[in-house]
Amino acid sequence: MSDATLQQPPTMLELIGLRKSYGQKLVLKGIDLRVPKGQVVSLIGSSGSGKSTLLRCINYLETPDAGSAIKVDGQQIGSDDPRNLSMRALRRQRTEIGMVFQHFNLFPNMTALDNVCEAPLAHRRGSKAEIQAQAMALLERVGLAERAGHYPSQLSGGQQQRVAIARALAMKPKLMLFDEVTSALDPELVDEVLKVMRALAEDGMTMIVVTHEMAFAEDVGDRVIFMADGAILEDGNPAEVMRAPKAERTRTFLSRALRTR
Amino acid sequence: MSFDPQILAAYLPELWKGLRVTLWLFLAIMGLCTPIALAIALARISGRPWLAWAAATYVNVIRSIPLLVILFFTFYGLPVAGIYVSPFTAAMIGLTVCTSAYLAEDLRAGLMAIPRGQYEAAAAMGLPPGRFVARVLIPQALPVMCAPYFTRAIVSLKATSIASMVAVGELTSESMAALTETYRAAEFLGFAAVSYLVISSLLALLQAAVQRAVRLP
Amino acid sequence: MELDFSVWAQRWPYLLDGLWMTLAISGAVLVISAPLAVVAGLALVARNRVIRGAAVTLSWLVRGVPPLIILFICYFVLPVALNLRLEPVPAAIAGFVIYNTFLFGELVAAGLRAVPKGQHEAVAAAGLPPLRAFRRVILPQAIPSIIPPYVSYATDMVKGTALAGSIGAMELVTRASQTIIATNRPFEILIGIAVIYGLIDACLIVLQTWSERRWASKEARRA
Repeated sequence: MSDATLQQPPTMLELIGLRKSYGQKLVLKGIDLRVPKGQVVSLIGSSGSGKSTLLRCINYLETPDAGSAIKVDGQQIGSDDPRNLSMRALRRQRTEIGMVFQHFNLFPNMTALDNVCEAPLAHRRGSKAEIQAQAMALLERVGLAERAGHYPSQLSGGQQQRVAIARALAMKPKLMLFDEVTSALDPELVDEVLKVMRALAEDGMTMIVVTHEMAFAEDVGDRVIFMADGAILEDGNPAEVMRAPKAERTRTFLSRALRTR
Repeated sequence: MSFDPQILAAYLPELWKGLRVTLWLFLAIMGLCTPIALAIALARISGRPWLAWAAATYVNVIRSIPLLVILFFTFYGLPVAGIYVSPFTAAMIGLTVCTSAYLAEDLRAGLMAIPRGQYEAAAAMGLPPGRFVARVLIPQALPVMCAPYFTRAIVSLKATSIASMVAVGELTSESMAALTETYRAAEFLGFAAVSYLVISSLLALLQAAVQRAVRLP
Repeated sequence: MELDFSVWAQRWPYLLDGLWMTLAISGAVLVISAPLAVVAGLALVARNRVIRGAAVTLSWLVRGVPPLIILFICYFVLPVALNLRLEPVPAAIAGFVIYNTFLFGELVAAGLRAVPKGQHEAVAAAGLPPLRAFRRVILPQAIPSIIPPYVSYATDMVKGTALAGSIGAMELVTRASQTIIATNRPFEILIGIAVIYGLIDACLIVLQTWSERRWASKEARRA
């Protein structure tokens, strides 16, 4: 018993009573979630289920309702009272969380290398030479070292998304958020991005992945969470959730998702 | 009607002086307006309610008042308020107040053209606002702002002629003085018109060059 | 320095005459330049190269010169060239009409260019006479994109009529400056004038919202 407690990895992300409303409409109905270090969580669910909002609340791109608590590696993100939110503190906290977007959102006026260097330069994480060397290593890791001097417009969608992943890794985050990162890609470009994400998972990164890629959720994810109407409906290891879902809604969603993939 | 361009030669020193004053006035206005207008435009999109409100009020109030009335404020008003400045300075202040309001709206349109995703990416990276504006927002807005900026610059060049109505000895004023002395309207007004036309055409050429220089890769 | 608005008590009839003059000049310019602007807009997109070239050159000339210089040319040069007498007010109206015809004309041209090419091809295919095609098909489609910038140009035009004083037309701002010189009360006079222009602006904005809604509902009824 005590051995088992010792071996359990520390908690990387903890959500306690996370609520988010737009006016009268409650889109997240009090989510509780604990993600241990190194776990890869796939968030699935139909559009409007609240999965993207959940992801965007974690780094405060959406401000959660008062009373919600978000902790990354034990540290509170933002504030449980939005009126006391310190933007300066939030900026520092956000550097612990990397985020990759559906539409890449690379800065088109900067080369791939400059995109990756931007955050470490802004936060003075070393000399320019050191930062550039680290950025080159990251581009190497996503297989794009030879494209370092290219601008986003000169790269394919898959390449842009890999640069975006390198950019998100540049601040050495403890947690990575992926928001439907392959949805905007041509089908033949999806695999190169998933390959990079798979490698990242194998390196032990804690990842929350909002995705429509059921195969990825099943193969790479340690855990699958199915959301509907702003609540978690199903939570378990991929085999359980995908092969033997408990709720009727999960079954309907999965049969549709697996058919269209 | 006789047209005698030779008469211009006799007044060349005055006309040349007027032209120089016009150019200085124009450069001073644009030099002052560009940072002021940018600050106002940024305030309007800052998301801070009172800052955005103050900027919007400034823009809307100034734009509803004729430029000449604003020039009268600085020309007649400043001395009454105990501030004594030359007509040139008074005109420069009035033109700057007016042009900065219009230019702020032009620049704001350019800033609003930047997609939301750029703001979100910068926020997720924890970029400080100043760095975001300097490194991401402005470089991307420049190509969009370029054409409206130069259009506004040409409008403001033409507006400097109104300074002649508050005793500034610029091009229009010097041309009118010569006209009054000689009754040679066509020659002197023609000279002034061609001068403005040449400068505004040069500005249009400059715009094309700048447009090429700031376009995104 | 204290503000004392009692100067308005004695001076308002003189200033009110200026307001009527401003509105009269503005109204005349608007009424005369609107149809001319349509003609200028058509000329700017004309297929005939001579007509288009002439329109483009004229527009470049007129828009590259300060309106004040155009007023002076209308007042000092035009009467001599045409051998007629031109009073300050008609000369001012002529100057503003020339300037605004091309300013508005460029708007009309932009609106016409925005009408899809397929529409031109469709009216040609239907064998509609050109004038009827323009009046019934092309112009109604261009107008919704012309109206909003047109109203904003119109507000600029109304403010621009303040320049008419330079050739002796006694409109509002000119009378204001006379009053300032007589009373040495610049702030009281100018704040009042600014409020009047603010009200004129507000009226035009109401007019704009109303006209946009009217066009929108007309479109909706058609659809």
